[in-house]
Amino acid sequence: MYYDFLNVAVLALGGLGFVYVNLLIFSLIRPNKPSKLKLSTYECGMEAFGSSWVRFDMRFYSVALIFLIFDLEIAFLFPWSVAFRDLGMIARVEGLIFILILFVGLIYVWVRGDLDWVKSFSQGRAIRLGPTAEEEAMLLRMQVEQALSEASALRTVEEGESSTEATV
Amino acid sequence: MDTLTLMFLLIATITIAGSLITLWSKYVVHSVFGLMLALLGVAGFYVLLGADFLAVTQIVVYVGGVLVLYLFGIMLTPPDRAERNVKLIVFCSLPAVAGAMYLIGSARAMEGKWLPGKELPPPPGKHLIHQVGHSFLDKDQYLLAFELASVLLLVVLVGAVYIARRRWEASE
Repeated sequence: MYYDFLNVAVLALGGLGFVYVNLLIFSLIRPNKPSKLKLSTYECGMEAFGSSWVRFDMRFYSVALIFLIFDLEIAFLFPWSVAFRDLGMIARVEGLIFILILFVGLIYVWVRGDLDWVKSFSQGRAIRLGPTAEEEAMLLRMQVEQALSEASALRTVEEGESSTEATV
Repeated sequence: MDTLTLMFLLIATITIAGSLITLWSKYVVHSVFGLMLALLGVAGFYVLLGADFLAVTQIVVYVGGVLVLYLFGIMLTPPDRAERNVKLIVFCSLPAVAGAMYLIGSARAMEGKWLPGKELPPPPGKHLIHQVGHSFLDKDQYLLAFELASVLLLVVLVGAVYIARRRWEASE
């Protein structure tokens, strides 16, 4: 059994070594000329402001809770997946019952909208992320009207200029 | 010193270092990553004790699941309330009692008073997880407990999501 976990340890150490040995080698041979711009968080992006500690959305937490439950389901199904082949049909049915019971929970959170990202939890009341269709249409109409009035004003100015030229 | 002792010392160092980071780090998020190190070390102990299923479960559930939950829990706390405004004596007394009890208990266990033998059981030749799986699916052993675990998880899922949703609605 130790041999199997030795494989895991070798892979883990290999992965860690690949990262850190490379970082070490390059930190030895690369030139080091830091400047204030280079050390900023996003060198060619927007300037970062404020603290990075912002309060996260509650939805992250409930999704993490749901994840934890199904994570535990995996932990229970792991020994089942090793053993069910030796035990025939009855073991498959037992595993299926286990999964189906938890599937009820999945349906529950799905139907209640806990998996939805945009909708609010409460009674299907949606959080509006932007203007509604009506507001958008009104905004568009106002823009068109403004553009039309500007165009007509421009036309009267041009006509006025051309008429003065004609009189001169 | 044989390889097993060397591995034990290595894993013990990792676990203790992770615990100390968890305790003494100035930032709560760093504490969570220290906790990850400590939990991985505990998984290593399970491997040394020959409990492969426990080791895998430790990694899948604690390192993979519970730590994510902790991280989100920390990110959900508003920054202005991040400081611990509990009195230090209250904050330290409970862990001190728990630690003292653990120390006494482990000292007595090492004397062999509470455990049948000082020697560790030899690591099983076959994978322990086979035995666990077979006892889960045997109706004379733990089949009922296995299926009840599913029901329990269902109850926990519905309850946890319900409470989280209510808190969300209250905060709105």
